[in-house]
Amino acid sequence: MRSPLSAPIARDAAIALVIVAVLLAMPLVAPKGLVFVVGTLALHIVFGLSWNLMFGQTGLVSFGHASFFAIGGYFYALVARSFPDLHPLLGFAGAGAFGVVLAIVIGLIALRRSLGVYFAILTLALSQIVYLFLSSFTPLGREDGFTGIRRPVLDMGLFEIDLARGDNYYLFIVLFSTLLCAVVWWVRHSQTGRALRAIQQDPERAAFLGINVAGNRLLAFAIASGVTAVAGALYGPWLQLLTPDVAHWTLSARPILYSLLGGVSSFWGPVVGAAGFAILEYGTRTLHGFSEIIIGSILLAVVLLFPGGILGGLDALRRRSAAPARTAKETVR
Amino acid sequence: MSGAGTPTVPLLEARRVVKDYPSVKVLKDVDLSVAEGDTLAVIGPNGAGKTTLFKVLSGEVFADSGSVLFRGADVTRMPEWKRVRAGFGRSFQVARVFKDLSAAANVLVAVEAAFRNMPPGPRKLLACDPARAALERVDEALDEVGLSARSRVEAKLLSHGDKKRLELAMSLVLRPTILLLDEPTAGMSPADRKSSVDLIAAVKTRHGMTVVLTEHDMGVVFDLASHVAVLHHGEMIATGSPAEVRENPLVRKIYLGSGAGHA
Repeated sequence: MRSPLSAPIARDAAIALVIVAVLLAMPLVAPKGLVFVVGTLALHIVFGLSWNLMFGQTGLVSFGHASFFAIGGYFYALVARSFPDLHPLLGFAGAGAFGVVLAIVIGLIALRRSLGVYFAILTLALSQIVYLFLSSFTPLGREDGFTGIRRPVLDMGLFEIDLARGDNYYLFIVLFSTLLCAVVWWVRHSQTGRALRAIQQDPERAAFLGINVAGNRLLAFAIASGVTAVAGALYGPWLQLLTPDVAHWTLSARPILYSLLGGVSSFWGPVVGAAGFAILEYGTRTLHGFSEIIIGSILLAVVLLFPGGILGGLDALRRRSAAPARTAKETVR
Repeated sequence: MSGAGTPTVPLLEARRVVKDYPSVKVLKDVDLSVAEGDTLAVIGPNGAGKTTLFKVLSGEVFADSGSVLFRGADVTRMPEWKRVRAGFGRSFQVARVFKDLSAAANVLVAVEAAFRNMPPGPRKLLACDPARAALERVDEALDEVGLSARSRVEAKLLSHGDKKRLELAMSLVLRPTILLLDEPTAGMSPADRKSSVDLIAAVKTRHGMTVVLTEHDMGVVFDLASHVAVLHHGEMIATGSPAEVRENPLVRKIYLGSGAGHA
């Protein structure tokens, strides 16, 4: 039984399939530099989507999302160096689990009484602590960074895949990122996702439906942090180096910009935003000094002209052209 | 009703409830008792403390002292979402709905919240699509409050009266034992008011609920209430049947006589 309340799984799966097919074909046609940009973009899409699970879906503003990206990255690098025989997939999963546990501990303190701007400032403070810790803790390389992070060999039982060879690690990143995006999509469209959306809309009302608001906020924070930690873990071997900059607040600003650029109220918003951002960066990479000005101006223009981001703007245009035939729009995304 | 207990224990009871806000003492030793099946109207002039009493009863704020008992058990410091799971339902003075969601999606959130404690049959934790049983319950609830035709409309686009109906539908799917309605007809036209009163009376009978409401309109009060409690400057000055309260000289003097409404 299809209902207007059903999740748009067929549509979204089709879109995802096309995107993944294009990304997987990239190494065949694109120069190495561009393939690197796209591989990084895949991880940043996960980064943006997981942030927006907190913001667009639940109404939590985190200014410190990069700290979980960094924590996952360093966790995996340290585990891979300390236990070279451990299966790399366990290392990636471990990074996610570590991110979840840490988020729960932090969330139990930070989410307890503080919301809105207080939560934002607390997470910003957290990211500064992580940044300073990574910059000064010798076993993690201090400011020189954690060097020599190897792309692992995946032991699949019957056969092995050497991720260090050719474009294997790129393909691995694309597929793993797709899986992480699917996790976020599923949470968003599940019963839990609907409860989170209710909390975003009106926490008091949600509580008076018997929804545990604090518990669900913590859950969203934990899932988003865990997913981002896995993306961070994948990022280390991609660069083969991690510096404390991955915990810097400027990186925490990225998922916010992606979401605002693409649109916070749609699942695809941060995907569009991250891609748009990457295109702008790649297109202006030779314009030293002007790059930031151009990107900044375009961001400002989009946010001012389309408060709902690119997708929100397109949606508004479509609605205007379809009016008055469809004035009432179904909004279960 | 399940777990009826001894019939002498009131369903909901407030004992010597005190609630202060920084500048004013809003509730002063308020006692209130609601028996199962009653419809109790809390009346009083603006600023009498009706809404604060409502917040204390529903768990939105906690009493500074005194206690709130539900089926004889102390719930004074129980958070609102746990009270809802124990059998409370509530509406707000200004209807609160999830404005960017469709009417049906609003009710679905409530249905899924209500299904939380049920066995895995009607709920679907791992699947994305809402369970069929949940969707049927949504349709049923929208139909009950007369909103079927507007199920796909974003809640923020609904009229004031329809928002109130939607809120009622969201409360009803929780199958509450006790329903708290804060000014259910505030800001409505006389026609809307009449249909709201009929609707509340109908759902109360159908679901066998106990209802506590605050109301300004005396017509609504005497149409619906089996009991009336009068709050004045944070004190409970009279309780009883509508007829008793109407004849109470003190009430006549400070409230009914002031031209705030007609009996």
